[in-house]
Amino acid sequence: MIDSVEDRDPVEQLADEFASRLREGETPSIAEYSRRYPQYAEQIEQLFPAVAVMERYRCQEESQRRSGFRAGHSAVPEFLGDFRIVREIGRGGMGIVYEAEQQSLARRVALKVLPKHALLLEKDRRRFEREAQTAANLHHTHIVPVFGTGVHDGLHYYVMPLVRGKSLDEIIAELQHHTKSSSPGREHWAFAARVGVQAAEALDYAHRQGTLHRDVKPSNLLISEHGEVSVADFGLARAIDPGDVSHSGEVVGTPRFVAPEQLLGKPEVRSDVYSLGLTLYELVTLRPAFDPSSGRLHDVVAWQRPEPVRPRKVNPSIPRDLETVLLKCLEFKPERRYKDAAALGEDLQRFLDGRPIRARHVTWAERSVRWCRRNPALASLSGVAALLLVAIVLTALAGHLRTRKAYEETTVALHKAEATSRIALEALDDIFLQLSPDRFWIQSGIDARGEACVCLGLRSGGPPASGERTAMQLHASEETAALMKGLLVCYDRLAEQGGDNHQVQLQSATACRRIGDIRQLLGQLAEAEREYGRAIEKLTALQATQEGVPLVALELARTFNGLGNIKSIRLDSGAAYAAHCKALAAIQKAGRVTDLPPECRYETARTLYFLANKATVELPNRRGEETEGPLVDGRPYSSRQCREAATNILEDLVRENRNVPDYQFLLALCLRPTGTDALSRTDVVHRRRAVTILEELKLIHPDVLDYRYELAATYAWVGVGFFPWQRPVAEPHAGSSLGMALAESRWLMEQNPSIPQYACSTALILAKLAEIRARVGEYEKAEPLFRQALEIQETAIAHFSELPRHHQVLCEFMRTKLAQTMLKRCGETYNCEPLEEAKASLETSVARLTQLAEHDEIADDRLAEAALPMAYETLRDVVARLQKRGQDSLILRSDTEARKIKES
Amino acid sequence: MDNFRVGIPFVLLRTTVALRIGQDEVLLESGVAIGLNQGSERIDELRIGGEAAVAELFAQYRAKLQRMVALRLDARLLSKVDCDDVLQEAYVTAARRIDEYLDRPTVPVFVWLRQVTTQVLIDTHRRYLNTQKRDARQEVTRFRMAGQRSSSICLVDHLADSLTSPSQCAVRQELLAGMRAALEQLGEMDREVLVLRHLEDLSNNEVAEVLGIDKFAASKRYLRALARLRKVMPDG
Repeated sequence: MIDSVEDRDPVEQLADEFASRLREGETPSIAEYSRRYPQYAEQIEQLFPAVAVMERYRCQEESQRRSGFRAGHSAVPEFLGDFRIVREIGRGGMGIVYEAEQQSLARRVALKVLPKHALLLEKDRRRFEREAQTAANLHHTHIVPVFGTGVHDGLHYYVMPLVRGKSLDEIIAELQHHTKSSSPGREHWAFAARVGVQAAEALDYAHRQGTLHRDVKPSNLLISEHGEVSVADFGLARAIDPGDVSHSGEVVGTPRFVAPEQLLGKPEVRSDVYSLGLTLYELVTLRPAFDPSSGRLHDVVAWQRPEPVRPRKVNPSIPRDLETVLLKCLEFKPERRYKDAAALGEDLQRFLDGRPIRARHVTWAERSVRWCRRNPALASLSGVAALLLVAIVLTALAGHLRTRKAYEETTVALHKAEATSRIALEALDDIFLQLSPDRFWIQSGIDARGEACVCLGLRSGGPPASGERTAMQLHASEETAALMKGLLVCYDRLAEQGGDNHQVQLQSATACRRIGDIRQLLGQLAEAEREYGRAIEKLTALQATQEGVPLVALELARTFNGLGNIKSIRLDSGAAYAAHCKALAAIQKAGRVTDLPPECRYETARTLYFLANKATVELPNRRGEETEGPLVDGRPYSSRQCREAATNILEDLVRENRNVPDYQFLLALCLRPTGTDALSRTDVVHRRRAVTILEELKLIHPDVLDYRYELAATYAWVGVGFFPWQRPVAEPHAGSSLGMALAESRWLMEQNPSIPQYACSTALILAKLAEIRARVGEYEKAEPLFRQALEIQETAIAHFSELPRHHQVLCEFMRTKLAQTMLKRCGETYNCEPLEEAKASLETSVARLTQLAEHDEIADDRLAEAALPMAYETLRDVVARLQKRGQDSLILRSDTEARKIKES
Repeated sequence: MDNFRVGIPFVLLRTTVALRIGQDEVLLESGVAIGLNQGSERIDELRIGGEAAVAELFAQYRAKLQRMVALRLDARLLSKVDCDDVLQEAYVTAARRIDEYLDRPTVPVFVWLRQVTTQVLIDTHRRYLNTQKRDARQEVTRFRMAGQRSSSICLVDHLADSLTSPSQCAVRQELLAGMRAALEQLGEMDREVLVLRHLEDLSNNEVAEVLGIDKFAASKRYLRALARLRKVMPDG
């Protein structure tokens, strides 16, 4: 019976089953398949959307074809009444537009022939005529007028003047094509604003006449050669009076450009503002506002309209005011938009005139707060139902679900507890990820020892400290913290779910883990640890029955990694190491890495990366019974091997999924050599690649600070012998590389004065640059650099009391370095002033270092151990020199006096 | 792995019972396999039943054949030939050539009927469009994208559309256009496989027979086509 199994690819069989269920009117979910067949999850997720799309296409094609055949053999009419058809100009959802000649008046006009089906009923025809009448009453420079209507052989048509020019969608397409070589500039923004001003004027006029356009989109804006805008196609417009709506709630318009409330059948003046905003958005950015690639095709949640991508994220050179205007049009709630088209036009005119605009720039925090409020899931779980309803309505209207039956089935399915909580969890995760600072979750590979280059991982010999940020503790802003606490309530409820359903149990464990993440972010380490513990308990129980299910293993690994990070923050390297080992073991249970879905492979790589960073730290308190060491394919792995394994996994992932920045980012971190000593040729090549990847990420995501930060760190990844245990490496481009690092780091510091690590990294890079100068004897250049470094470091310490004491050690170390430089610069000259200054600062250093050495925190600090003797030694040298100077001058003086005496 | 071993027979049962009745190679009734080589039974049926059996079989496959003709009949012919004309002629040809087929049944019955119909379609094109035989074949064997049809038929299609809501129509038009563009970007083989599977309703095994490749290769080819479509398909 199963013989055909060998004959066919198993995935193909599943695809076949999936397709036939769709054909039967069912709505099977892709997620269900990848859950049922985890070993094929990747292929399923990749291919099934294509199956679904083909099936939908089949339906559409079929109905179109059927109607085509039923229509019989009527050909294009050559004449429609008085009009001779010349050629087709364009077509859209509402009919085909022809160029035609009006015989009686011998003039060229445009004819818009409506689809027959649109006017099957008498009342539809009446409505059409009434609307045409309304449109014919609109007389405005920027509105394409309607000459009249006609009917011929059951074909209804509008007559309009022929507008010479292009529609905006053609212009956008051309510009998209052009911008591959050059990016748009000021003229483009001005053009967009002028189009907006004219279109807004036209809409405002129509609105005041009581007519909504209802279908504003690029193809309905005609631009003449002189840049004059004409708004065409008030054909969809109906009188605003709600009593007039014959099909109450029926949606008209093009889904991509339609405002949310219009999708719900409640269009108003501000819906047209929204559509015009979207149109202008596309013109300005040359991209759709809602990134189609981010929407998972068959995921209902994805259809909830997301926040538009900020225009400046697409192109940072877009003026901020223009961005603000666009985003104000695209507000989800109508009352947050411009109150009417006139207000929009006015603001655009202000922008054109270079005057300040009325709309207020919405900050990131505000936007996320608003986003969360908009998302009922945050308020309470019962709100999830409302969210779903909106999502489903949008889905159905977008033509996603083919039949009413399918729609109802989905609704029913979604109301089941499992689906509801899954979607809630996803919604919450979305919010969470939006709130969590940047790339935190990738990065939390913490080097807990808080050693010298905690801020840039510049230590030679030791592992790179990559989780600097966490080692320094994250600073969640107050708003974020408050929101996070709000999220906690929801997660708590999800975590309380019980029952026998594995899915629900897994969700509950995931919620626990998230709570742990949030607590960690809020600095509540004990609570975080407890939550992670709960999650691990639940997951271990689950694993007993669900052995080898990737999702469970993945969750377990994530939880262990979270736990490891907490241990790292608490400076318990041994426990951290053990936790990451457990994470690795958990995910290895799910199967061979190469067979796992991408998230699992990514988590494996992340775990290996953590382990690589931990493995070379000597672990004085590593407890043998707990720590087994990372085993890959049954063999223990060294740090280097861990790193290589991680790199391999990530290389594959990046190749397969070009657009996932997380993968690229972690790859760059893995590619960075482990130390700065004795870089091999490959190390240098790898470092260069890491730089390339990070530069690219920075270009695409200019807003993500961590990309820039790691870029700076990678540029600064040269050993110049700044620290006493470092050997200077003769690297030809060390100076220029540090220069790049400095530029990035400075930018970060200036843009984010509230983040201490950026100041610390800038100081350290400056110190390294100074060191290079000092090494080649250019003391006069080294000195000011050391001074700057010291100054920044001192300011940082004064500002941020929470900085680890290590930074104070580093500060004193820099002071000593500065004194050394001054001493060398003085050379044999007789100028004593710098020496006096050096002496004073060295005395300070010695005093502070002695004081610092008493703290436990500094107990194993390598730098502290080295710095104090060095400061002493330098002080001794300086004093000796001063004494020598003193003697010299004494001798000199006595000589002179002796001479005087002799002379006299 | 356990999951999979348990899963597959279940899948097979479901799909087969639901959909594969009438498929030549595997026929399951009430969930029980009754024979892998159904084709031979059909052929026996034909031998015994003669022309009446041909008519019955043709009726059974008519819907599928009609889809095929509808998909591939050139729009320019629509005013002269009807889809049913082609099918009628195909039936007559099949009845005439049945003995020939029964002597050497190299392919299952459906595939044979499809071949006959394809031939009739090619002849029709040649007759009306005055094209060379080779060109006509190419035109027919290639799935005709709706967008390639002459604009007249598009107008007819469009104006006589059965849907009532203009917005639905708008949505559909947009999606259709997007899909056409996507399909057009694919290689001919990929497109053909997808059309056979999804638009002509053929099973994997039938696709294998039509394309003259083995079943495994057909299933692989289908997956590959899906992957390529995924790359170019419009979202939403």
